[in-house]
Amino acid sequence: MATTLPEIETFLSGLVGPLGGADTMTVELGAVRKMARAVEDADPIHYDAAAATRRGYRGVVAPWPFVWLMYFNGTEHQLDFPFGKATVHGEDEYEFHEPMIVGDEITMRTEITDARARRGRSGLLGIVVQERRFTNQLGRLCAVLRTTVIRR
Amino acid sequence: MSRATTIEPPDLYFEDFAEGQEFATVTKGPMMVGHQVRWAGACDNYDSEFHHDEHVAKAQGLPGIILSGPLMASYLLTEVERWLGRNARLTRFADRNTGSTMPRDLAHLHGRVTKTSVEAGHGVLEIECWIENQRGEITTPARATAVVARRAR
Repeated sequence: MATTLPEIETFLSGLVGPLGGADTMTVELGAVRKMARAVEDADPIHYDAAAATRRGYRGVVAPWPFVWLMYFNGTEHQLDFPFGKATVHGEDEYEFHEPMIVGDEITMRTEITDARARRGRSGLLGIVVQERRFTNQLGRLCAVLRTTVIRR
Repeated sequence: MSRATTIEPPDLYFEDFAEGQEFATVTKGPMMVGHQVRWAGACDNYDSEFHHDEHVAKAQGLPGIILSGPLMASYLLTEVERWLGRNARLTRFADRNTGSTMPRDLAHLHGRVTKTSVEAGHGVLEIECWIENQRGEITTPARATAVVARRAR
């Protein structure tokens, strides 16, 4: 159990770097429709290939929250901290590039890009930024998701 | 065809937007555990029991079930895309979880255009958006950037 600021800082600095290996997932139509319905996205490009190609896409388009399926299914996402009682999901930042299309093979790579300690109102906090990069089978970057979690 | 009822987003262009323009508020809810469960299924994530089991949530010191922050942000992101229409492409979105959404809460989705510009011939919109609950508390402040097609001259 880390209790002092130097101990917590040492633990956090050791987190920075790649987290697990790359994971590749095929974008499946059922998964895309299920995500579109969950976030109440009624745009037909997420359900119907003809509607998507009429709008200039190669096929049915995954709604951007689809990255969360890869986040939870693809790699280890829960960090074990030797301090604090709870981990809170603080904020997210997304970059969107090439659309993810049904049939695409998307590879996700995860890295911890920043981990530092801060003194908060209730004591010492750990702030950890995880970055996930999603690339398709053509090597094109589709999305980047940066998630900040707070350990307290 | 899917069981979902689909609606083509509006056919809007960069010239249809102006700085300061407010979008029509959209209200989701009352949010229910079912919304959270459907999100958990779509994400294949059932790890955090406090998202669907009130007994566990209270045992962890929470007031009750808390809906997932990324679910609420995803509603907002989706609404921004619908507000901007079929000729827009979202390029950035960033949100913070500053308050909890619990079962039976309402989520009022608000948004406004903060900046319009033309960069390398493309129309660019900066959007400020947020979710406010029925008590007037902002639970999800966010901002978005989109590229929007310009009307042919």
